Amino acid sequence: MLEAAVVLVLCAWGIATIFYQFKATSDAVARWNFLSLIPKWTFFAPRPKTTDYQLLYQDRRLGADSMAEPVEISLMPKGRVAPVLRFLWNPCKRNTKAINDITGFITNYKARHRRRIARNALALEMYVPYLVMLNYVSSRARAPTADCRRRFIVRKSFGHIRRDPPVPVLESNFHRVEALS
Amino acid sequence: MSEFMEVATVARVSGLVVGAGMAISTLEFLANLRECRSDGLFSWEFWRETKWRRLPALKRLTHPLFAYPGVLTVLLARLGLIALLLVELARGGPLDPAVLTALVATQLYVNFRYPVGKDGSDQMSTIVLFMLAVIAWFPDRPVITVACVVFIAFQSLLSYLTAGVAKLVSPDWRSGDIILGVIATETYGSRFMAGLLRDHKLLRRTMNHSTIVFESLIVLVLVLPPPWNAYFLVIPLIFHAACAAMMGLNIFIFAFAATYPALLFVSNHLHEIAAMLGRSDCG
Repeated sequence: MLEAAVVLVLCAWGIATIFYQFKATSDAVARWNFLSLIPKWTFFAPRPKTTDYQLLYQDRRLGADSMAEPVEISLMPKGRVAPVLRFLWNPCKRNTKAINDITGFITNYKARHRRRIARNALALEMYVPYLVMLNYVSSRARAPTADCRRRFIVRKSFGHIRRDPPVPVLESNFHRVEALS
Repeated sequence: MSEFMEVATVARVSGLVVGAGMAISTLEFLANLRECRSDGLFSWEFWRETKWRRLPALKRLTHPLFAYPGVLTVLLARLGLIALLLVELARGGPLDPAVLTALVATQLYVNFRYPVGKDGSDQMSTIVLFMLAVIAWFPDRPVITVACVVFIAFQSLLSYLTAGVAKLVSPDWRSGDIILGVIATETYGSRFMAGLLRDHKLLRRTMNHSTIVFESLIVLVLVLPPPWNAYFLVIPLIFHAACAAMMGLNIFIFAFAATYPALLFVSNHLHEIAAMLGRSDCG
């Protein structure tokens, strides 16, 4: 009896995994995948990411027409592990992957709720990944002045070979931010 | 590879390999702990709203466990459990169900606590660990232990096959040049390798197409006789080593190599397993 139950559960788990690989059925499976027990195996396919993201912030003075130049926040901290050592030790990858994931969440959300966001900007501004990014940028940027409004920008850059200039992927609204004590 | 004829051997080797990967992964989480504070990328104060927005009591109750420094406590405990698992397995001891269950709990904690920043190595580690825990609880029930080993092998085959077929149907991958695009990124590449691949078309195309071919043909491991099935697995092992060195995907080699004993077990016992699992349907 126990044997049959275990085999049945594993079969169901396996079938759910197969359905999770297809675009048409993955959303239905994702609804039940709270603990990431059902994996997605389409590594770097069908369209791998061939760009990097840059994270920047830009300040604007209240009432002023002009904006300050965007300032980049380094996602690859100084003292980053040498490529040869990344074979064993690469803690940075979690942060860069997180920025990729969060950017993906926000751009997908914007595309899905375009009309709602156009009617009410709060629909986007209260979206958790958006708040995480704003909070992250605020904590890493220089302390703002009282009349400063700040936004974050995500740009796509083209790696070591292509010389094309970076392209904006995401620009937040301007927000009042407070210096962290 | 006659060593992989016994479930106990498969479980021991898988446990050692996945444990080593989890130790590095946990140390990396600890190195990134700053990002778990309230102003970090993994700030629980924000991410909990995606999960428990309408459950304020649960949010309050679980806050000490998920927020900083609770996360530090859990990660340190996880590191201790991994050390226990590795020492016990290295001494030739059996799988400890209590240690493995606690490790599964910490793995599910990590999966839940970090909604972003995870990758396929976390997914495969979760599956291997879960199955090892079930094997540890029911070591004397051959249908259950074999079903768990088969499940690990199934997920391993499915992972390579899905990745291979998805690449095969992709015009980008079939062009033979997309690998240069990936390796040229700062996130997953290096300037040196990008330059090398840019200047050597044959190398670029070979790496690109060989990835598609070996991933799509992974099921061959099931039909090749021993020891050729084991020799065949050297190909994905080299692939993961190359991904670790070039792309920084360092945990994949552990998470996926931990499934190879299960693949060899299934390959060595293909006909018997089919008959045994068929019988379990009748209770």
